[in-house]
Amino acid sequence: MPNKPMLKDLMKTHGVSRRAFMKYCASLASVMALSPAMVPRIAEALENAPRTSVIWLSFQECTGCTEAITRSHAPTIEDMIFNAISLDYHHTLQAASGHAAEEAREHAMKEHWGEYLVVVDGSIPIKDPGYSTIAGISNLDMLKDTAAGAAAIVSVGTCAAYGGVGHADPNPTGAVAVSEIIKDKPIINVPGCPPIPVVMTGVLAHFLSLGIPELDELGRPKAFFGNAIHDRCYRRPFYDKGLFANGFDDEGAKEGWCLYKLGCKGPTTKAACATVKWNNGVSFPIEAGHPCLGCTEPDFWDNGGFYKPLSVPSGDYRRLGLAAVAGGAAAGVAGGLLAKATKAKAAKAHETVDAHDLEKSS
Amino acid sequence: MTATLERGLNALREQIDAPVASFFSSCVSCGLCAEACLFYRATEDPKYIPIRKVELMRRIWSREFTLLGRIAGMFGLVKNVTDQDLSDWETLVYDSCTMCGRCTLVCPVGNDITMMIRKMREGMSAAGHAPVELIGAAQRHTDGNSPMGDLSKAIQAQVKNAINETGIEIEFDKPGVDYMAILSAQEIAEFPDVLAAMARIFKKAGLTWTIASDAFEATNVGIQLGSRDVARKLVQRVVDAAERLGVKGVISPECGHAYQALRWEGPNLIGRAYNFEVIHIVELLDKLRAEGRLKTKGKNSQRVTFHDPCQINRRGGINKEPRRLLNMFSEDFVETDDAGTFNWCCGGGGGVGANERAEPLRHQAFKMKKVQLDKVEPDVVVTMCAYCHHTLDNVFEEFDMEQEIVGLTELVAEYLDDDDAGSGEKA
Amino acid sequence: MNNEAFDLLMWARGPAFDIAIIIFLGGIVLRVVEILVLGRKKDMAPPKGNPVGQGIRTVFSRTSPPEGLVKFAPITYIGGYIFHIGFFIAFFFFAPHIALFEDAFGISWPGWGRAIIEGATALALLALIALFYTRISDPIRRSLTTFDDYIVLILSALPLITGYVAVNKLFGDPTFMMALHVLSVNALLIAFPFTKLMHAVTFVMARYYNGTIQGRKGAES
Repeated sequence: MPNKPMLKDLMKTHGVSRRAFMKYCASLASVMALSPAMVPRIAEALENAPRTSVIWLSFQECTGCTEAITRSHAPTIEDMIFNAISLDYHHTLQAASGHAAEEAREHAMKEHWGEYLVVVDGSIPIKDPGYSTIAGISNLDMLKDTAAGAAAIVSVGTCAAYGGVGHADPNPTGAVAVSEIIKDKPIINVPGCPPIPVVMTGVLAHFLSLGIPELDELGRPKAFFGNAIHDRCYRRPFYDKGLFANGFDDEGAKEGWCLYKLGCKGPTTKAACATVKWNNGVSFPIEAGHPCLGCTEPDFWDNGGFYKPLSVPSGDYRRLGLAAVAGGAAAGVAGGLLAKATKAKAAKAHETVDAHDLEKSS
Repeated sequence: MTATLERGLNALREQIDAPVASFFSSCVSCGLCAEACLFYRATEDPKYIPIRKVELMRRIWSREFTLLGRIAGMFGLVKNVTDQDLSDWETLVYDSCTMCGRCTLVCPVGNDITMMIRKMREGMSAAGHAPVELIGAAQRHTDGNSPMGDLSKAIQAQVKNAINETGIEIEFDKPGVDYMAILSAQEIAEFPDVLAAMARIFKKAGLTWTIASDAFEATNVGIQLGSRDVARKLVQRVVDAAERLGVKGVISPECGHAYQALRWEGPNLIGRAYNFEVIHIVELLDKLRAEGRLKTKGKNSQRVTFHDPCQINRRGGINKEPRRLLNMFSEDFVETDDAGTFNWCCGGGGGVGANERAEPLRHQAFKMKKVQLDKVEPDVVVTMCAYCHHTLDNVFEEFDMEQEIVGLTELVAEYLDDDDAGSGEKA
Repeated sequence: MNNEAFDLLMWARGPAFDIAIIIFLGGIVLRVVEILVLGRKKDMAPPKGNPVGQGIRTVFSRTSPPEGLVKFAPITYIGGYIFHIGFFIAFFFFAPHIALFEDAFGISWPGWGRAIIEGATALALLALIALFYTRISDPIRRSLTTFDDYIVLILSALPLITGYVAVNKLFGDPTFMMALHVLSVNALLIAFPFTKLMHAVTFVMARYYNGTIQGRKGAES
């Protein structure tokens, strides 16, 4: 396709130095935990790849994912936009609006049919398509239309990946994840509420340079979602020593002890928070003193309460237990009385025996 | 009336109470009771594991005394107890258990297996599965005055002998005295010297006592047989006599089960506390010693050891008293291994000694006691139960053991300080 | 898309635990009340000792082994002690378990370090293996052992194994292993009132009764 500018040329146009580009490739390899030997391969792939058209669809979402990705530090979204992708449609970030905006999407689709990348944030309501529309088009229709010509889909954020808050009980809109609707395209899930910005850009970069990364059974790139937060958490030694914060303002909290007992979902949550961290690697929720909510996991809103330790039963077991005690006591009294009746009957049947009554008549 | 399975099962049902239910609920089949059991240790045959001996009662409890067991029973998960079962269990319950109580002491969850054997025997006897010797003894005792037959002439004669020997008057049926003494048939028949011993000691201590001519027998085969009705009848005789004579107390003699029968089971059998106290002869002697009313002179230089009767020490709580008495005059008193609460049974208690069928097993079981004695090699074995005395006499002969066996009361009397004028009533 | 392991964990700590706790508590109370209602006749014999005092004392004192008997059943005694102590440490001093008690009863206590908890767990498991072995090899134990005993052994081992595997991530998805751990505990809870596991509650009554019977006579217990 002659009208597709090569990245190499673009870099020249934008005055990006070779040195800056290699640095960028190295930082990419590093966030994805790839070997440094991969850096030249990434560079070569990126240099020789045409800028991929990206269509970003925002459905039932809060814009938190977009807010987050614009704060990515390495690579920055600007880097991405200028160097590697052509962000042809994104509500929040594009200048155009209304019909012009939709035209941009349709244009990009037509132009790059079969090659463009669709990024989705937000869940899709299927109970009534009217719950969420853009330019009169329901989210469901727009997703189906757009996905038809996509090379792959990246579901950014837990809403797009697993339904998120929209899908949370009682799910009034019938919100579902992208993967519930699109079955014939490769889907990369990048969950999180929001996902770590670097993870989002890293996944995009991986897609552009090396293709679809290796995914886990929940469709997440293993490079970022391979380990439980608990196993990489800097507070883990306190867990192992049995030192826990029991409240948000107690001695344990001040000492920075493990937040398990405050409901931390680190042990069951796979994400890169504890290693990549947020805001240029400054901190992450647990470091800020708050237990992990488990936001990269499906149904995290409904997983038994944010502040309930994982080991604590999630049901109404106390009330049920009390009822069981009462029921058991009643049954016990009944059983005991039956037993006493058996005994009383035997006692009533007792005829005083004499020493001569102790042999069987033969 | 005749013994039937239904009668037996009913008797078992009557015996099941909260302690029994808690014991069966708690057993984890750890088998530690076996390690404590005389019969298991001597034979190492798993059929003698104590808790197995009460399995039939467990089945009745489970099937008829628990809701869950009733449901399980409906599905055929708990077997009914048949007459054949009782027949199969007869030797386990009567021949291989002296109700010595060691298992009760070691059970980690605290099951009183001994007490359950006692209860098991209620069912066995009512169903006609008690050993014939025990039934015969019960008939002789309830029809007459002793399990050995009519001993009234014998007791009269033995008392006369004691009076002649000591020159101290012993009156029958004397009301208003301090104590009424009762004796075990074994003492009357085999060890009558105890009468003279008591006469001398009590005289010295200034204690008045009598013997009831119609209730001199202390043993109670109803306890060993497992028949509350028989046991009640026999206890009632003693209670009636004691209350008629208006004594302060009844002296339970050197006999293990007699002490259990009169002091601990008796009030429950007749349904009320007595109007008199029951005191074991050794308890009484130790009390007199403590009060300075029993003094000894001279020393016994023989190597002496003590055999604790199960029903008096382990099951009766009299442990230190005999030792304090022995130490008054013994220069070489040695304790055996496991002496005291964990002493090994002579093998004849609980009716086993009267049971001819059980004799080979009893002799085998004596092994445990023999090991104890062989280790300390005593000249004299002192005890405070005439039936232990009787059993040891027999097995010593069987095993060619030379040691002398003597009752504690007799031995105390031998060293009684008759000259001390400081205490007691004038002769 | 669902995380099946986490959904299983949620089911295990949600509805499954609710059912298990109902059966566990209801069953225990049923069996204990049944025993208490059955009652026992008042003992008419004037006590020589202090039945109640000795009953209470025996509940505790029976915990120590009788002198000289350990050498006759060393596996049962030593294995029994190690298993019980190990299980108790792992159960009561692992902080996530304490969190459960805190949630249920509002009381908590300091947890112990992982090295102690895991050591106790491993020892308890080894003890269970030894106890299993003695049930098979020793004639006394073998002749007494019923299906119930094996069930109890296995059900006691499963929470230890799954807990150890889940915490140490030995194999399997850790969330899945955690779910299995909770499910194995649920199985233990459900089986409790119907098996010899009941001894963990009724031993108090049995020891107490034993103590009162012996105590009335002034005899040791």
